[in-house]
Parts: sequence; C-alpha cells; structure tokens
Amino acid sequence: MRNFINFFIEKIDKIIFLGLLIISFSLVLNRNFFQNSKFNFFSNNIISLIKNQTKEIDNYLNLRSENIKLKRENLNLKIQLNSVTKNSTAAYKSGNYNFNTAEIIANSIKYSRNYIMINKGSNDSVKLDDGLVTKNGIIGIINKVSPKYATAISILNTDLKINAKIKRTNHFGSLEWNGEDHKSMTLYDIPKSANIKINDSVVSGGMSFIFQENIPIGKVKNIKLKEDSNYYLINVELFEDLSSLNSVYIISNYNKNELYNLNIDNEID
Amino acid sequence: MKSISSILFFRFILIFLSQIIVFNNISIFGVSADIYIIFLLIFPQNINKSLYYFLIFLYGIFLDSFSNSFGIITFSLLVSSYIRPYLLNFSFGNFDMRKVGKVRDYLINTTIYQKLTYISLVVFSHNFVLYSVEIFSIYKFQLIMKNATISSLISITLMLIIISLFYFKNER
Repeated sequence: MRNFINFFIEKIDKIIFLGLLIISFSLVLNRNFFQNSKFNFFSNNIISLIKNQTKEIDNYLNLRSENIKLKRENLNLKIQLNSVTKNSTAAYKSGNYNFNTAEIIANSIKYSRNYIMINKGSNDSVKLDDGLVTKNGIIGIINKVSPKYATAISILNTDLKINAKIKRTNHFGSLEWNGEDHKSMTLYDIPKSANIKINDSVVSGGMSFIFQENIPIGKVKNIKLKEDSNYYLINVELFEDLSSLNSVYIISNYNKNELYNLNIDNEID
Repeated sequence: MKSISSILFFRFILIFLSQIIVFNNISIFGVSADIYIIFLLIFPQNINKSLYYFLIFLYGIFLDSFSNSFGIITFSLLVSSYIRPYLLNFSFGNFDMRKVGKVRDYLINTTIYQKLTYISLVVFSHNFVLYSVEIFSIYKFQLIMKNATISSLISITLMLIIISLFYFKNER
C-alpha cells in the first residue's frame, strides 16, 4: 500500500495529464450534445454576451458597406414588386413560411464541422430545424435554441446534406461539402441522362421541410463522370461567401410539425 | 515585483483576448490565423508539472468555447504540451532543464535556425493533431496534411514576427 501511494505521488503529474487528456477527448466526442450539459449556462450566456459586445463594435465599423448592401437589396425588391403588381396572376408562393431577421455573432469556416451562432432565440420564436438563408442562398439549419441565442449547423459541415436541384432541368440530388474549399460544394446523385451544362444554376429542391423551393445556392463549376457509375459528380460554386456574413433571414415552416407527423405515420405503416 | 504567476496571468489574458477578438476574425487562404500557441511556446520551464498541464487545459477550454470547437484545441494543446520538453531538447541541444528556467534565455541567445526549428516543430505537431482529431477520418489524410501545413505556415510567420518584436525590444 505504501509503495502504491509513493508511486502515486511520484507520477502525479503524468496521472493528471492523462486525466485531462481523457476529459478533453470526451469533450471532442460529445461535442454535438455538449451544450445540453452543465456548461450550457457558461457557453450560451456569458460567451454570447462577450461576443455580442465585440460584434457591436464590428457592426459599427461595417455600417457603410452594410448600407450599400441594403440599398441594393431594396432596389431588387422594388423591381420584384413592380413585376408582381403588373402580372398579378403569378402568385408568390410563401404562404406557409414565416420570415425573421437575425445577426450572426459567431461563425467559422476553418473546421470540417462548422457552426454559426445568431442573436435570436426562442423568445423571438426561433425553433429547432428552422432554416437560415441570405438573399444569395442557404446558410444553415438551426440545431440548438436558448432563450436569447441559437446555434446552427453551417452548410460548410461535412455531416449535413441538403436537397438541391438543377433549375433548368429539374433533376434533383443531394448537396454536400467535402471539407476543403469554403466557396464550393459537391452535388451527388444527378443521373447520367441529365443534360447538364457548366454555369447552370443550382437551387434548393422542394423535397425538404425546412427550405422552400427555388432558393438560389450556386452555379455548376465543373462536371465529372466516374467510369463505373451512372451518376455525375458536380462541383457547385456557391453564390454566398460564407467567410463574410453579417445578417441572415430565418425561415420557419408553419406546417413543419404536421409534415413530420405525416412522415412518421408513413414509416410506422 | 514581478512574480511568475502575475506574468503568466498577464500573458494568459493578453494572448487569449488578442486571439479571440482579432485573429479569429482574420482568415488567410481560407484558414484562420492562430497565434494562441505562443502561450505554450514561451511557458516557463521550472514550474510545477501538474500546474503546467492544468493551466494549459484551462487555456484550451477557454479558447475552445470561444471558437465553437469543443475540446479539439484543448486536446491538441495538451498533446503538444507533453512533447514540448523533447522538442526543446531536440532544437536547442542538451541542457539541464532545472537550471535554466526561462524559455526567454533560449529565445534570445540562440540562432534564428534554432528558433525556427523549435517553433515550427511545436506548431506543426499541434496543427497535425488538431486537424486529425477534427476531421477524424483516415481516408482524408491528404486534407489533414494540407490544412495542417497551410495553417502552420501562416501561424509560424505571424508568431515569429510577434515573438521577435517583444524579445528584441528587451534586448536593446
């Protein structure tokens, strides 16, 4: 026993090192569920508070460029409004969706599983699985919500797949990120029979409960065909530059619960 | 009175804040510029080993929670803190670790090649572990190597500039 205690005292630094190493590795493995744990208070309140403060300074410095962006967006909206009033038969199909704005307070592009934090939470009726978009395309999907803040899985996350289609031919496939370049993603499962050209635009498909149809995502950059496969590998260049994001829109589907219930019923049958 | 704990505390706050407020928002070639490893590079040698690991762990946890990457930075910082004495031995020759306490002595009195070897070894090993744990797939070894190399090159350049700025000023 005495020997054992002596051994313990001699090697205390190595034992502490191993303990800390195991703790940190378990954090890595659990990091998707991590915010449910006791650190929730720490991470979501204190950190967001500090980040919000630095973001406010940042926002002030960006006022000029933000103004220019807003003016452009306004112009676009006015043009759209004109065309809607001229031919009122073309109904704008957004009845099922609610829109809300939010500011991004944390964003990363350097990892292969990236997350985004926004400054709206359940107090502003942000719910799980809402979508994040800008006028240039899809940004992410909400995965954690607290009263004042929410985090989202960025589309630059190798675990996420998004239903997308080629606008011209209506062929749909799934869009994934391969973890390399933050400006490009890969579109899988488009059949060989589809007649696809470079610079075709890629939009969101209608098969998702989260995003409505025809939100722009990017354009086809190059097309590859593997010899033993019937499907294209399409490299898509994103319209939105995810390394410089400031404000986003939150899309939430009114009928999402109904759709999910329907889906679950089908699976049980 | 400059006690070692006050110096450490000051460094901790300064490097940590400059990393999360300034350098986390800069990205060069799609990789963000990391300077937080300076804290490990110039950590004193003659401090208690257990305290050393614990401080590094705390530092990593703080950095992790501010960059939305729970545990990755902590894990890789701990690994590089463990192999750091061996890397010091390798790059500055054999010395008695207990006699010469300050890493600053090596950083001033040695040639640029020795400094470069030390810094690049620590930084590259750190980045390699970081990206291996983060990507966590052996099929993407190329991607791991590419990311680790690019981000090491950027951080080494930045950190050499910062370290020489501070230490050359004292030398004059």
